[in-house]
Amino acid sequence: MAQHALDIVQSSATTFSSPSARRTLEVAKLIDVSRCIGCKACQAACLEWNDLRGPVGGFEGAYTNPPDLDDQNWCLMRFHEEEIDGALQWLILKDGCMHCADPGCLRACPAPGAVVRHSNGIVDFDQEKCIGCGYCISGCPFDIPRLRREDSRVYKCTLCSDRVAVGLAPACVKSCPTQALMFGSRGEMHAVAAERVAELRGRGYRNAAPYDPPGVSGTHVFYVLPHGDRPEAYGLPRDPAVSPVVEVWRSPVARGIGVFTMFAVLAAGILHYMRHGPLQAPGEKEENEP
Amino acid sequence: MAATAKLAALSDPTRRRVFELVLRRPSPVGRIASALPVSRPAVSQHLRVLLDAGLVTAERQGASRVYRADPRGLAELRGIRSGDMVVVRSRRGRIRLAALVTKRIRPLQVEGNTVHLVGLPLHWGFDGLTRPGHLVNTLTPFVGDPNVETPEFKAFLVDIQKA
Repeated sequence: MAQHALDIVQSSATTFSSPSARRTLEVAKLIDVSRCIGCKACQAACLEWNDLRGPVGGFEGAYTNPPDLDDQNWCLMRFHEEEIDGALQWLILKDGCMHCADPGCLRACPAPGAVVRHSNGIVDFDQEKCIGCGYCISGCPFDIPRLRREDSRVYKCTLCSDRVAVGLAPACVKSCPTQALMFGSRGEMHAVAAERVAELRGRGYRNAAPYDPPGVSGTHVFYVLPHGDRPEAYGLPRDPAVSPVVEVWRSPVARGIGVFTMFAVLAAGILHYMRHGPLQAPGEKEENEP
Repeated sequence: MAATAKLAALSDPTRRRVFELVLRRPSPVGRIASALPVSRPAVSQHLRVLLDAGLVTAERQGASRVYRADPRGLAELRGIRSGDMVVVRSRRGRIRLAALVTKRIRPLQVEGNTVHLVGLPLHWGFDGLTRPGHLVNTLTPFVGDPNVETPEFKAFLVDIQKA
């Protein structure tokens, strides 16, 4: 994590209010699926920049390679062959962390400071504080974080927070040959997305739409989908939101009750011991009596 | 026997046009009839002949029947799924490799016959940086262009079966 602690706006399992000494510009990455040619330059660039090298897998009969995100693959092109309006469409989508404004991973995480949200919108994992429980994976509406078996820590796309901190664009954006990936301020990217949607509609994609789900209060990685009326065709959840289970069980109130319960059980145990002494087997008592 | 029936079925020019329309897009009788200068019963009659010859299949959808050229690709006919190991055989040899099944390559209809396409990329060798594999060059014919002295073996006949 290269950004300064002053940039952290929200931190997992922590209730401090941020000092807000430094407000940085909110950034966003726009993925225009209509321009994507599925070249996987973004996948390669991400591996290069983050020094990742997973083991060689086997061919499973698909262009989607490796078959899923994992701790060594934070960016994945997913290929879908879908019939839309009677015609076959080859849909190609770049999958990775959406950097939600209301991140489910952060809400679910029990380790203080392991997941942080910066003032520029990037949601980052601090592996040093991670305890490897995997709650973030269940809490994520998009199923993104992945656990590394070797060190029991979770990993995901960092939106190149180290590059962004010094004013560069993420590695994937830099590598994209068709400018399907764009990076800039959140407002700018929303404006560009709106332009692209309008142009696509003018070209016959009647249902073109941006994908920036409000269920997670918007994201800092959003898409322009040519077939915006059916995000499921691209493998995106239709209406993602932070799960109500996470909302209830990982809320500060629930956590408070949990801690209280722990101490209450401990106290009850001590009191019981003081009153009734150690546990004795039924036969023992007769033996000890003279 | 099936080939002659199919050729005979396509001997009539109007029937050929009906078949072409069905090839382009699966359609019910009404849509085909509206695109041609013949009556609905006439189109129905033509479709009956095409159905008997095995060139089209009919599927009930609601109150109407939708006609389509046999949509089953080679993979479905041979029971091959994406990722399965298959053996591809040509006159010159056989190789074993994994299959990728895609709807993006559809069978061709040539003179009433279905011609399936098998694509063989050349992305590996017997040494293999990651994994070794059978050479695709085992299957290709020894055909060259003598004027420019370069190989010219891109298209050839193969059989493909589940391994």
